[in-house]
Amino acid sequence: MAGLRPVLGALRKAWGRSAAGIRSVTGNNMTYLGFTLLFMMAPSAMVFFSILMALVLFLPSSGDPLALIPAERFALWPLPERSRWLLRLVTPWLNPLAWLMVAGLIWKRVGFDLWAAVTAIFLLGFFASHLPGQKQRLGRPWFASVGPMGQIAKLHLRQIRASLDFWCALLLAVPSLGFRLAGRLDAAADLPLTLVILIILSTIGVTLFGMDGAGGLTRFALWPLAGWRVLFAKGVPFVGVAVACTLHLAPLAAFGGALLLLAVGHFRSLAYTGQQMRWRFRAGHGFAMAMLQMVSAILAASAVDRFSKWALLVCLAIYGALLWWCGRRLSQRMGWLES
Amino acid sequence: MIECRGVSCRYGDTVAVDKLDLKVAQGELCVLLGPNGAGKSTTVKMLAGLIEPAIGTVTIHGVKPCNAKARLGVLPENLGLIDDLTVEEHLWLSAGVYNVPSPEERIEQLLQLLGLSRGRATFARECSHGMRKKTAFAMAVLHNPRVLILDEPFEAIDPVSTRMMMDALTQAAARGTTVFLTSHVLAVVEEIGHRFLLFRNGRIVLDERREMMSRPLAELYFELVEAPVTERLEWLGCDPS
Repeated sequence: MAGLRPVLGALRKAWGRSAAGIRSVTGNNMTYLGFTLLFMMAPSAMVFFSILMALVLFLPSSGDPLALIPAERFALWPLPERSRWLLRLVTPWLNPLAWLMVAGLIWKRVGFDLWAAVTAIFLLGFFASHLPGQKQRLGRPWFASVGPMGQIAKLHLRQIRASLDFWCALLLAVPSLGFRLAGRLDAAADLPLTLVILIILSTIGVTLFGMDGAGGLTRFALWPLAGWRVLFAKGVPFVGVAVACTLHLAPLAAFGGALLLLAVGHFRSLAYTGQQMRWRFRAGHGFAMAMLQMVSAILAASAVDRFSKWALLVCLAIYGALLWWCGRRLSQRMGWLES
Repeated sequence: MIECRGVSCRYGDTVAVDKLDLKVAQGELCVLLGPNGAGKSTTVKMLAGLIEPAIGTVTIHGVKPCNAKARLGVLPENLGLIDDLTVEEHLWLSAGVYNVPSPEERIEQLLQLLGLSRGRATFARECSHGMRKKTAFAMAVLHNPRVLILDEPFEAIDPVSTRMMMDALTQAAARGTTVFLTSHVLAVVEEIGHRFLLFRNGRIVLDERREMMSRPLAELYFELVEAPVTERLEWLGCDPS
């Protein structure tokens, strides 16, 4: 049993650190907007965003702490079978959600159906954390034909998929599609829902390079690509996701809004050097940038939806101008242009 | 002592290791060489008890590897590090698991020896590949095992640390530790190895002690394992226009 204490101690540390990534929600645009709405006397809006984020965070937070130890390392340790079983029994309780499940069972005010459903999701996340990571291929032939920009776009699409912001947007998009198909979604809800989905996705627009790490940026610097092309390739999947999530709502408004989210976000994307974590919410760059970005997108989307489709041209012009300007700055940073 | 008798292992239709017979004596430093995909890592995994051979038996000091874990020090292919622990925390964890009494001095020495002192507080996920490998190497030797099984320990390691690791392994072998390692760095292993096994398609094509070798290791390797391909990249270096 002597080997158990250090393993448990190390697991407690490692789990605590890996769970600390949850704190990224505090830098997400949804949090900023939620607090703004709270101060504008709309607490229900804050509750709405909080529930949405909690739902999406629940699954990746349900992992088994023991899964943090690579299987080969665990197999190499000279631990007797009894110790392994003991670890198997004890380590799930390092995850606070396991205690929450037990509390839910004891607390009689929680209905059994709800408890069973939440526990099932918890167990799904728990066992899924032991599955080996899915191997993905980046360069399928059809995509390779569009050159390095296609590869960058595909890489960014994958990075978007690994952000909880995207799944949060889907959590809103899919049910609303169901309501639309069932004919139970009022047309008046189209623009507000589109705006909410844009806001959910907006933090991705300011952290375009957040998941590339130093290695990724070095690779971009090595490629003979102009900065605007890199930014454009990164932006295409973002706009694509925003439009795809709102196809049943107001896709043109989403297109205009997403262009403005990106255009304003480019400034901060270039300045950002931190690393975003996979399967966590993106953390942005503070309140002022979040507000500027969201207000621009809301104005753009509303203008396209309520006034004229020609407003899209203005959005495209602003996007093009800022893409060119930020692209030049990126080229300078990557050493392709004299600063 | 390490002993393999008629050991075979397959992945689907591919035979990774084919009827391997091998005895590595106590205090011997045995090097397994071969191209990528020859079955070296599979052999290491079987010796470390990470996978069971389909046929044959593997024993470490007369018992199955899974029963000799406390006496084994292994550097696995994937290094087996925990992303959210620092370099130093990995060593403390290993010391605890193997019950190393008062490990402070050993940990400090290993950090110094491998040039990890400055990066001791770096998380494994943020380490360079070389640092990660050195951490895994330190974990393998920290508990002073009687048998060391190392999968490509010298790859991606800086020259100074390579020298330190070579000296440490030579010293351990001289004091009776059995060392079995795989490598592609012929110059390094030629200097420290007592015995060389050349591996091709899961079979040993040469088993030679250093003092018996008539020619340099690289020559034997190119002749018996694989010769450099004669294909030339005619377009490389030409004027693109």
